Amino acid sequence: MRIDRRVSELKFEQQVTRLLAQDQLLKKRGILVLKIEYPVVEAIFLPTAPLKLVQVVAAMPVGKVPPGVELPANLPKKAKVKLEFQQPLPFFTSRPFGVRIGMDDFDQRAPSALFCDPVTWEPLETLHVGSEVDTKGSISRVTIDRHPTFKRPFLCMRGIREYHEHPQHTGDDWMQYRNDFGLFSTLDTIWRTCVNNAKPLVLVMNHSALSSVQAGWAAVGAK
Amino acid sequence: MKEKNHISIVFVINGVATAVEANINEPLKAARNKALGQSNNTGRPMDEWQVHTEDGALLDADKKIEALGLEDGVRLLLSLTVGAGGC
Repeated sequence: MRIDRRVSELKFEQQVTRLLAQDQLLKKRGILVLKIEYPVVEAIFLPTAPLKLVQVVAAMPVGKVPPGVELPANLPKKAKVKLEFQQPLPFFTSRPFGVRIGMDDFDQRAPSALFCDPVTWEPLETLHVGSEVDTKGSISRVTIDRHPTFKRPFLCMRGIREYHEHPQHTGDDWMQYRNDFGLFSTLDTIWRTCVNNAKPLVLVMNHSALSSVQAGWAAVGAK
Repeated sequence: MKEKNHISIVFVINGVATAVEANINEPLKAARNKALGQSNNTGRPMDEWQVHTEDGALLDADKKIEALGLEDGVRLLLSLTVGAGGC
């Protein structure tokens, strides 16, 4: 322990109160908090975005697009346009997952996030792609297969213990941020990166000689 | 009573809600900065705070509130910029 247990418990209670104050938002996002017992909070994330089937039916220069197809204004003449057929399949979605948040030593250490099977609560060996998107639309992958210290897959995001205690992030110390992150922000970060920015899609390309089918994840854009 | 062209925005910062009045003709960052000041979240540069909707859409804080289509009473979430990846 790096911090007196009584102090840590008080801080935990404060964080739990803040979390529960946002109960409606958590439900709306499909985040079910199952267990709150110092120093652990367990939650299940239920993705609800339907699998999107995307079929690229043609790729052509702007000038050859058939009449009646609306295009954004001012496209360069040399631009290529892809015509897609999109079909959401509402009965198929991503797999739910559980996360065990460790708040031991909070706020001398950041909250840890252990991704688990939502039924057995065994730690997951692999994570699906989680992404963060900036206002320019740049996408960064933030789920990493193996942590050199913790020896498991992890979420590589500021505010998460596995990020701050990674040997490559010793210059971005948790103590700079400990007033700005907590339990709610941890669940918010996980939802944003691993649910909202990880919407399942299947891409079918058969407009050229090389046909292919790819399964992947779509991130939401900036407004 | 709100002034003309003003709406109420509730910012949720690490689970704590802070309501501010905002002029729809000003950039969203003006309201964000007001909420950060009001809630004493002043330890980091204000431009490091991103604004998301409850549905998870990232908002451009440089855009005017009216242009973003935000309505009176909207709830927005603030989170520090990512510092993501790089492992």
